[in-house]
Amino acid sequence: MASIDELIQDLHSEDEKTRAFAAEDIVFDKVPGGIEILIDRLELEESRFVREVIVNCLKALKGREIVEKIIPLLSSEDAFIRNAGIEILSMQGVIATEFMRKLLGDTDKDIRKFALDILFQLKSPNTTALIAEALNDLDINNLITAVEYLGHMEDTSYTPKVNELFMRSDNILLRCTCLEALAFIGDEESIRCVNKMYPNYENISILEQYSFLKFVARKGSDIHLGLIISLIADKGQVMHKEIINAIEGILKRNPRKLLPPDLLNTLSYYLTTDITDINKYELLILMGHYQNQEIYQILLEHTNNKQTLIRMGAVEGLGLYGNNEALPILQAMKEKEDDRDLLETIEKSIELLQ
Amino acid sequence: MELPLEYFIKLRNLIYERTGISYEENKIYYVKKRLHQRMEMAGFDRVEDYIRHLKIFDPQGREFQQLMNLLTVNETYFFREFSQLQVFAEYCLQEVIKHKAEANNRTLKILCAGCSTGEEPYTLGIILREMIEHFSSWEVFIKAIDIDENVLVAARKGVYDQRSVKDVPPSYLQRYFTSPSKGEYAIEQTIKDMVVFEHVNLMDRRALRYEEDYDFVFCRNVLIYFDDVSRKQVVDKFYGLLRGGGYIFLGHAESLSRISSAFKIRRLSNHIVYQR
Repeated sequence: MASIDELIQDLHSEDEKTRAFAAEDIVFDKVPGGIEILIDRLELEESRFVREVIVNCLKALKGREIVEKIIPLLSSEDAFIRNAGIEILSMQGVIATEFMRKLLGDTDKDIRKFALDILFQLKSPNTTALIAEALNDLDINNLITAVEYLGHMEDTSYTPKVNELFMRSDNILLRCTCLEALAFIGDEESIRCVNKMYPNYENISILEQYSFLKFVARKGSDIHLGLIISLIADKGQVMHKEIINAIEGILKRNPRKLLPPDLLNTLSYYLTTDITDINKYELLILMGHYQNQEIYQILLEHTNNKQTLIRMGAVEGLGLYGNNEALPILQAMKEKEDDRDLLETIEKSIELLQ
Repeated sequence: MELPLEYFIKLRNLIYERTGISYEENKIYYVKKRLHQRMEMAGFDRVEDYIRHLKIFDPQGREFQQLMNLLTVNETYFFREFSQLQVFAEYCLQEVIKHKAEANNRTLKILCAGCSTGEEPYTLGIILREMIEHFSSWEVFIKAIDIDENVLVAARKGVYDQRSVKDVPPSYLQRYFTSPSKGEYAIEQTIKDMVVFEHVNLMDRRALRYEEDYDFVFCRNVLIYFDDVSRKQVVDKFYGLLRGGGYIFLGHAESLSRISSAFKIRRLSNHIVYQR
């Protein structure tokens, strides 16, 4: 085994492999003062490969000492080092949490933002309360970040505060973020707030349309279908993914046997446009849940489509639709198809119809 | 079970972020089926609850790993992921041998990591024999490594069943295999001689440290079994043993983009390859 002096010497060798191995050995052989030695080298190092090795080695360390020594890297002027600091601290678990609490009070808004990023990546349920502290941050970007992360963490403790921010803010980006967060953490009051904010299609600004659809996909009901159909007329091709998600979400929460005619027309229309195959696959399965007579014919037609994914959607749709007149068609498909996944879906649909 | 597209995309993104494996949209049924299996085992009824569990309540990633084990059940057989091997044979290999021949260097070194029962290194041996002109003037060395001693015993033996050779082109089957008994296929000795099998634990940081000047590393569908830090450590190891201009091949759905930025990315015939 190399001595400490040899390892330090190797860390400054001309050869990048030697420097990388020295970095690994310094960490894994627990060389005293190793963290400082590596941080110093990181700041000098020019090889991307060796820099990445050093950061990866530091990530393997856990404890108070590494947290304390890495925090100053967040103020580095070098973006690689700042990001490395965030990555290393994000792997420190509960120990890092208490340090982040302090950083959330830092006078530098960027440091507060990094603290939020780290808290979010720590992925511990205990960090939501700290992230929520930034709901009072005076910097709008940090406020938006906090709302976004609370939504992703799906913690409903701060929903009233997010509802309030949504209603009182005139910053469109913040309102969009609130809508998207409320899609996950919203309550009955959130639905009332959104309905009040957007009583009709004209009240939804272009920038807010995507976020509105995301909210409706999770929390919407039949009353939103009218708004969505208005949106389709205007933005049907641009926002088809969000629109389909929203319709799917509403239909799932409000079970029925038949699709309303205007909605059926809309979905059928989508199948004739050039939206992606995966969206058509999804639509065909969705339509299979409803008993409108037209749907059976649409599904049958799509069993002849050139694209495997679309045929698969039609086959799954037929299984769900439940008309056993489709059995001979599925049997015939089984004979000629060779895609393994498609064959499985055919067999499954045959089973459902028998 | 239904897998709405929204959740498929969420799950796909999560898998990509954590493993670098990317599932194309046409794999939705493949993913749905295995997800359903895993959700049943873990006692989840709703996809959204399961994804939420993976994201928030599975900090050690144990459930995530169980799901990945189902999604990545790997069969090993000759000429697996054929189109990727074509890219290797028709582009990368040709470029490397041209470059080396010009420099009057006629050695070729390949590392095959996670070689299991030997189908992949022997496949590479066959490809080299087929694709390199004046093969006998080259010194070829394929090092095949695995952590499992048992699979290495089978690999050294080099005898396979029908399933393992199902994708071997008939002319190659005739040329490079003998049939010691019905349903058995033994790899021919000259191919066997090109491969050295070795027991190596990639997690041992000193392993392979002094290996160098490799032209190719094949590490297909192996990185999934490592956590973030170890995965990076292994990839750094490969970077260290490749010569400048050498290539690393991962599984067709795997990516290095979240693991290392040290490699150059090249797109060749619809495949992504990474070059030192």
